[in-house]
Amino acid sequence: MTIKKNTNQQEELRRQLLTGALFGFVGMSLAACDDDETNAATGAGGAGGSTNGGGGGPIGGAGSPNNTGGNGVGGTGPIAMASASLEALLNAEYRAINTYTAGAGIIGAAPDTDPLKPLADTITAVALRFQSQHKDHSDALKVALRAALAAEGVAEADVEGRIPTDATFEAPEELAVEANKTIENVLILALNAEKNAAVAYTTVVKALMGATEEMKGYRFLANSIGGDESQHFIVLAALALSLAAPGPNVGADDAVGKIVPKSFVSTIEALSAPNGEGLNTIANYFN
Amino acid sequence: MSQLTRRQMFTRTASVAAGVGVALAISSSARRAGAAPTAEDITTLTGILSAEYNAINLYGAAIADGTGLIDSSSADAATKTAVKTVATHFQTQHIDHANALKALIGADAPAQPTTLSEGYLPTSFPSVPSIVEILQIAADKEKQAALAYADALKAVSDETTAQLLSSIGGVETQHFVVLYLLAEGIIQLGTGASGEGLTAEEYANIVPTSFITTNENGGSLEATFPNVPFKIAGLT
Repeated sequence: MTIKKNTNQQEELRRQLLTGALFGFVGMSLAACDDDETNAATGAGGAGGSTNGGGGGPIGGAGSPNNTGGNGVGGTGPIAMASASLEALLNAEYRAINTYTAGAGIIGAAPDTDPLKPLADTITAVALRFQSQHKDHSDALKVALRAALAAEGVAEADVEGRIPTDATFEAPEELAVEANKTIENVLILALNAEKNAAVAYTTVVKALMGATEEMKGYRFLANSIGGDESQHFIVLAALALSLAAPGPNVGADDAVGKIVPKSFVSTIEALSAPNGEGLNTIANYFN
Repeated sequence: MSQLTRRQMFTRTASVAAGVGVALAISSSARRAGAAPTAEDITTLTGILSAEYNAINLYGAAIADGTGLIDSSSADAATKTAVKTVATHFQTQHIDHANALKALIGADAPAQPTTLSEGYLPTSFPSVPSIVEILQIAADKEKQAALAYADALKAVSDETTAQLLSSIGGVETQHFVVLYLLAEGIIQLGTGASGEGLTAEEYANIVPTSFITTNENGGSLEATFPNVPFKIAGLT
């Protein structure tokens, strides 16, 4: 295995990983201007070092105080870092899933005076589609995390107990005010979260250190999910910022299925079709 | 005029325009600290750089004034202007990608060709396409680019190289989804905050940055696209 000497950038990345600072991406959008507070709420402390993990120590594993599983992953070696990264991403996916549930509730309860009320059904359908894709992401991350924990040396009987099963969504204070519960603000909430997710996944690619096939596979997975978050962000931003409007075929039966058409950029073999499909399963227009 | 010859004409024209924006000399300082792609990584990067050059040339063929694919279509003037603006923006982002790849490859990076690679456009692509067909071929190519970047991550060994590929690939997915949804008629360009049409800044925000994470060759979501604030009731 090739392990490079850390650069300053990598040290900073390591710090962020260990404190969970990268993975408040839903939370970051919630607080909007108080990232530090959100970040401080993550990374609750892990279970200590492992034999593969080098120095070990109380590294967070990016566990959220709200997650109901995952005790954090010990160690600071590449494999332990991979486990910590995957666990943190998994928690973030759970928060995204719950964010969309909350968002759909706000959209459904929006008054008729909401300017986007005529599009409420379409926006809800899109939100639920994105939510289902986050579920696919979480399934893929669980598969990867199981493998990483096993590689880290976690006993087979203990692996499932180390995999988070949920993470709670906490509404931002702005959306606690009834008058602010608008469809536009739900779009803003989601687009900020998806943007931060795209950044987090790409950042994690660099944190998954080493030239082994396993690490390459984790980087591939992180990119393949991050590229999907990136698409979510663009669609939501286009709607929220009035850059795009519904087109003539938006009412077609298959329209919602085409909005961010796949859960992954490239097919994830560990998941069965259609959940694991990537853009490679979409036929070209021209051959 | 044969189809291929026509395309070559387009791409020669386009490559001149594209070349203006390309910084051919990349200083060694542009290489990211700690970057150390292996020889195999360089081979992968070089292949992807060639694809970026093709993308630049394809958009150039589309947007060339008067003779380009867009101007040759039967679309109305407003549609042509809108699609050219988006295509020009995407081309600029591909130039940023090419520059970043060249910086990482170093002195061995190939120069941009003046034409599309033969075979880059499928034989089924019409010589005088409609606007929708132009959007479709661009969506095809952006999808293939996104896949190429994703699959390259299975191959490269260096983490910094991997992050650059991911940072660019994420933007290719954005290009793809915008073009795909336009081609499918699921979305159309909006009217902007004013309700009277997109401003230049709004056009640029359709895909706001060339990279996902920070890169010295262009803006990134991480560095230059702050969170959008909530609209607070009672505040304008």
